[in-house]
Amino acid sequence: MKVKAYLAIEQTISTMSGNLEINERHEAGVAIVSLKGRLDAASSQEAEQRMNSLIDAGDRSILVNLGDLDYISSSGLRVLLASLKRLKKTGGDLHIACPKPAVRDVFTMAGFHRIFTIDDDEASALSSFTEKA
Amino acid sequence: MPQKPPNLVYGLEDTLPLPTALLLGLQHVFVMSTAFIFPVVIVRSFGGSAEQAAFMVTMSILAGGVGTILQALRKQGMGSGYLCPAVCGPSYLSASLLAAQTGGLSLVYGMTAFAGLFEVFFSRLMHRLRILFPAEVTGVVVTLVGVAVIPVAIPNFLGISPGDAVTEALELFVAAITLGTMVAISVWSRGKLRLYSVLVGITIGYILAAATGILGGPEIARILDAPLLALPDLSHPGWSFDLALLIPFTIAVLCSSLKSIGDLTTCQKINDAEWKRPDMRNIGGGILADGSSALLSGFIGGMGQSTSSSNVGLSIGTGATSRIIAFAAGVILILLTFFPKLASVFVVMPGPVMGAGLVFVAAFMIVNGLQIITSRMMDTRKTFVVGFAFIFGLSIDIFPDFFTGLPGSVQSVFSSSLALGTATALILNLIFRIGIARRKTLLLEPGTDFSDTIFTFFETMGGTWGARKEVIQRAESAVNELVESIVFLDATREAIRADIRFEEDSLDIDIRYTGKPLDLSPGGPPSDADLLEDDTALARLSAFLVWKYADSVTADDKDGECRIRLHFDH
Repeated sequence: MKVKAYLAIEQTISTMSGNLEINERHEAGVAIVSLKGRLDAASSQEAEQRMNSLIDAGDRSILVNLGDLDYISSSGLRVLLASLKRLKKTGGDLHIACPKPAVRDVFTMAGFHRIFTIDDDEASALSSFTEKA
Repeated sequence: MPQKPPNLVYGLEDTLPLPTALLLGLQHVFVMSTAFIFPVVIVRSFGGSAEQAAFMVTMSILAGGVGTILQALRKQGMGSGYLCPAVCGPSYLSASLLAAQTGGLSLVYGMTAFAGLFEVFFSRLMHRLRILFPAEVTGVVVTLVGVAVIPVAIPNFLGISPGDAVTEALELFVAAITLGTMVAISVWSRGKLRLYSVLVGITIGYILAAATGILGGPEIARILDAPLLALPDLSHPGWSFDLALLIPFTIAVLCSSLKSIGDLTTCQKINDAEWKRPDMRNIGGGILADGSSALLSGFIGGMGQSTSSSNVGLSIGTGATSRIIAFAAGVILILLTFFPKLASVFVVMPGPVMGAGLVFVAAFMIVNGLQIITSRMMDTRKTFVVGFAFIFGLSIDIFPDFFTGLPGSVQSVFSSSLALGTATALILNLIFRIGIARRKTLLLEPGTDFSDTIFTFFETMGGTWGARKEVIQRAESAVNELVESIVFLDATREAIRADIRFEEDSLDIDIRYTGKPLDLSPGGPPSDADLLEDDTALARLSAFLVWKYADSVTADDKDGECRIRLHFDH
């Protein structure tokens, strides 16, 4: 239990780009990226760089928590898709957790709900990584 | 065609077996009987006889029965087509008391008939008055309609009445068990038992009241002594009119109509899963039925009639809104005037049982009103409209002594939280319309943080216009997608102009820029492989999303100026 608690607070990195706040932390071997605000053309470049940094650093399981994301545009969708593609090529995976109804609707409209594993809460998303492993 | 909400067991147009319709109609009559007391209060105010009281109650019940049927009709402009029963309107009480004390019952009947006639004419103007009733004003009225039930509900719930200011433990016990039964059936029962939650609660309440002595010998004797079958007493005192009472009765009928607008709006909302705004033409038909029943009531010797908020609350609570129930309730009411023994069962309803029923239905009315208010985005103006309406309206209930010295002609406005709160909301809504632009222009510069400009603009104007949040979210998303596309494809390097026009039923956005036209032809989304390998796929995804967000998209270009029009139903 102690080890898990330590992992949960291992490191939190927070940055702000445009109207998007990005927070990173690791828990149980999964990189959790929390997005807050809007993921659109103004912020997608920074978001893409952060995702690439994680993948370049060796992270193969990335959980993107969209609980505080108010809006995602096609540019934002593309960033998530590109990251998923990169991870899949190396045996990794990217899951989505807690999207608000408006954001979930965008995933559904664009057909991305068929491409991504989307969970209603972070704990379920984390355990879905464990189940796959 | 309204879409039936999933929580309704029997929706507006659903048919139901006759026994079920009669039982549900009877349940409504129990709730309506709480208003039978008003004619008694009027007759007692000038020292009238028990026979005069019985006559006025009987004629009011008859007018209520006819009014309930007229309301459910929806034929040739008469009626709204909803289960929205007519009862003795509390809005008429103050003016009727004034008439009774100055000219007796003939003056009450004459002035009530005048008020009904006024409402009939008023109903023909309803469809032109939409501007007066945006969602936040209607929501305030519906909420206050629920609040207006509290001063009647709580004293009865606590067993308090004129001459009995003490709450006894047994009265509280009966009220709590009655309310608890209704709530428990509503929340935890399965199947169709929920339909009868109030009827079961009231029946248990009657049994407990009889067992504990609250329903005592005099009340039971009254039921036993009443004849089973008898023709209504037709000793009508005639009609008279007094010009001095025109103002109080006009105010009374306006307050009654506003309450009915609130009730009918609630009926529209609870019967349509996709309800967006009050249908004023339909409400006009409802007000015509309301006025006709008041006119009839004044003519035959009853009290002014108005739609019953408590019964609308009952419909929500039980999940049964079928028009057939209205016809059943109307017929039962008419029959009651010929069966005095049955009518007396309702008349002797114990206070705690009546209070429990009213508390139950008021809860639904209040929450419905709040839902209507919050269905729209709020800004400072609308916050004041809603906030001040509640503050000044509720001040009547909290500080009733402050308003007792006002002239009789305006007493109706200051007689209840509903009347004053509604008047406040209506006046403030009109004042705050000053300076609201329905058309706005937005200039977006490529290379800047245009998304922030777009989202800030729509969030601010959405609140100012009182727009539906869902429509504003789709509009801002569509405009952002379009501008992202224009910038991504480098279609222009000049400013992009967006002209936005808001009306209550539509939001139109006209986007213009000088440069290359976008391909906005409708089609499916690009594949995920395309999105990563083909640069134009992102623009195709944008176009696809724009089509999904907007209700219609048109695009053209002329002499290098590209124009894209987005339309959103509101």
